[in-house]
Amino acid sequence: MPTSKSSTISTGKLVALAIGIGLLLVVSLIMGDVYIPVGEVFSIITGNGEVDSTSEMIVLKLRLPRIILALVIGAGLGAAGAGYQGMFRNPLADPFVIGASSGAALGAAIAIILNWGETVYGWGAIPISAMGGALLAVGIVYGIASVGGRVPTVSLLLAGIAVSSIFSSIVALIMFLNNEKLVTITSWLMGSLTGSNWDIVWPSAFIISCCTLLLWFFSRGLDVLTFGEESAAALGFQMNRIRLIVILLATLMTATAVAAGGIIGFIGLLAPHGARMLFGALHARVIPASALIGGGLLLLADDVSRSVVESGELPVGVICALLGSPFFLYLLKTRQYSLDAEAGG
Amino acid sequence: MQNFQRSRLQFQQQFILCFGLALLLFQLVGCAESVSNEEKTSEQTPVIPGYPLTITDDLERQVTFDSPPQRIISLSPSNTELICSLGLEERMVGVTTLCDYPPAVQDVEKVGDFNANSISLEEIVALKPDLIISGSGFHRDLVTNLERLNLNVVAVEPKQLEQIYERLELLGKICNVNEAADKLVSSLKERVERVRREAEEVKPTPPLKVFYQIWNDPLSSTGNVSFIGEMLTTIQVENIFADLNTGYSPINEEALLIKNPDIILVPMYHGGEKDREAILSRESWQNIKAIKNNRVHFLPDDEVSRHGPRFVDGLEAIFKACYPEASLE
Repeated sequence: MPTSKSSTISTGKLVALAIGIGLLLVVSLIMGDVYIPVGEVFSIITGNGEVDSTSEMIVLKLRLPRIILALVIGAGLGAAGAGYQGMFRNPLADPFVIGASSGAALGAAIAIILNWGETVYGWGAIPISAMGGALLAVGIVYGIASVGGRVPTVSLLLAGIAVSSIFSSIVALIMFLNNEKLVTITSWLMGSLTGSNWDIVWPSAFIISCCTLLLWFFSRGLDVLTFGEESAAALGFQMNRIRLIVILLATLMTATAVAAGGIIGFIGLLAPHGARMLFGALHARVIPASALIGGGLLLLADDVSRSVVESGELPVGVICALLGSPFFLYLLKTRQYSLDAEAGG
Repeated sequence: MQNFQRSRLQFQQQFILCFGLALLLFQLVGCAESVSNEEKTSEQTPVIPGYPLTITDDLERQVTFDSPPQRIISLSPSNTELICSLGLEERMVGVTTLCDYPPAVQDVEKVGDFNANSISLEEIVALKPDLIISGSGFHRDLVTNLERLNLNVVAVEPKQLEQIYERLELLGKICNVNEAADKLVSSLKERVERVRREAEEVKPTPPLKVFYQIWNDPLSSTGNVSFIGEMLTTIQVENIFADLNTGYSPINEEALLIKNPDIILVPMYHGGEKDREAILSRESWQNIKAIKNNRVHFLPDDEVSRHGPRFVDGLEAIFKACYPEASLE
């Protein structure tokens, strides 16, 4: 149990984190292909004073929705990662590694090919289809990798890789057979926040904030899951139900993030680790902190992707992979001992 | 009673006064409105016949123009060539980094490259265009994004030679340069017809068998339902991969050896002489007639691959490569 002193420290850190994200947000609003003076950006945001209508359009219709979407998607991936890691009791679980992203990609690719977004169910079709694919992938990975309620790292990684490859190759096949939509799917697979607009931001923000909040309500249950199920059973928690709910929530968030921004890896891995380093292992803190850190990280990565190339941008998914993969390898290396311990016990 | 009547009278007077005032106010507002209307119309003068103009583009979208566009952005090299061939270089305010023809556009602002993701929406908005010419399929999402920003986008992506004429006429109509478009189209048609007639005269029987190498790795060619396929049909040679059902697709090298083409045509991409050496030295190809008879011909790249007005130059180059002894006067 945290003492009052440590919770004051946590609050301080949380405030610092929020301020950091706030600053990042301001910087993101100012930077862009077209130079708009800081004062004008401020006037546009606050709605005071005379502003140029072109600048207003750039800030309010291009930059702001993109920034908010980066925060929302990053938060969703971060919180989903925290959920997966707690539930799988494995520090390497993240939406990308365990196959949820590839599953969502397949679901969304099918929806794009069949024009569901345009013809059948409106905007909801792609996320729902992505959700279905993600659930299927995670279900298969979990089913294969779990041994008596535990999910050893090695089997999780292997199952995740194998299932991801299967799903990715089906996506590749779909792309091959549908030349026309190749560009759409490719740019989407690389992960990009280009063309973000309020129509995408609102539903994504709604789903992700609801799921994060719900996941947060289950943080006590997640703590119990993480500490071990034997004690959980003794404490009278209905572990299977909690596990199912956590999987559903984390996967729904992943699918929403994938549907809105394409495949963006490693945010779900980095954010919860950062959160635990700063705020300790209790999920009541890890989940909101993961969301904040994830949002900040993705916004930062998107700013990098916007500014690296003059007039144009790198896919943000590529930036995240470049940032995230070394960290993943570092975790794999430094956790060698615990892997051995796991394999032994 | 008297009091009542007086007050009634007062009421009537007041009512009339109020009504009068309201009427006056209404008229004033009306006047103000009509004044502002007059101002608006005077801004739009001179009224151009034919506008507002509504057209349908290559994504089956309806786009309306109130007046001929004056600030044009083109998002692909072939569209840049189409627009400029109508004498509209002056109106170009944005192109891509790949747009290098005509030379005049090299100084125009660049908004991105070929990849739809590289195109900067911010820069496009800042250029305040009144017409953006995009591609169709590969720009579909971009078009949606530009539409959301209330920008006038027209998708232009001709897929057959005939469609180049139609798109030129469409752009001429949009930009109110119908005459230039008609003139250009008839001269293009004339040149194509001349090539066709000349080929009719000089073609051997059976016709020459031609392999058109679209790309070397993977080895690709094209069927008859494509620009190149149409050009080969026009000069009346036999495209050995005529039955490839998609426009451009990978081919089987063994099939190439068996079909044994008389001529190999290769667009000169950036490789130049290296391409030539690479093709002539392919061991498995040494028995192909085209290699043995030194009939591997290189074609100017942009003219044959861009779906713009210079396709006729490409067509004439293909004609000269296949019938070196013939002339087009």
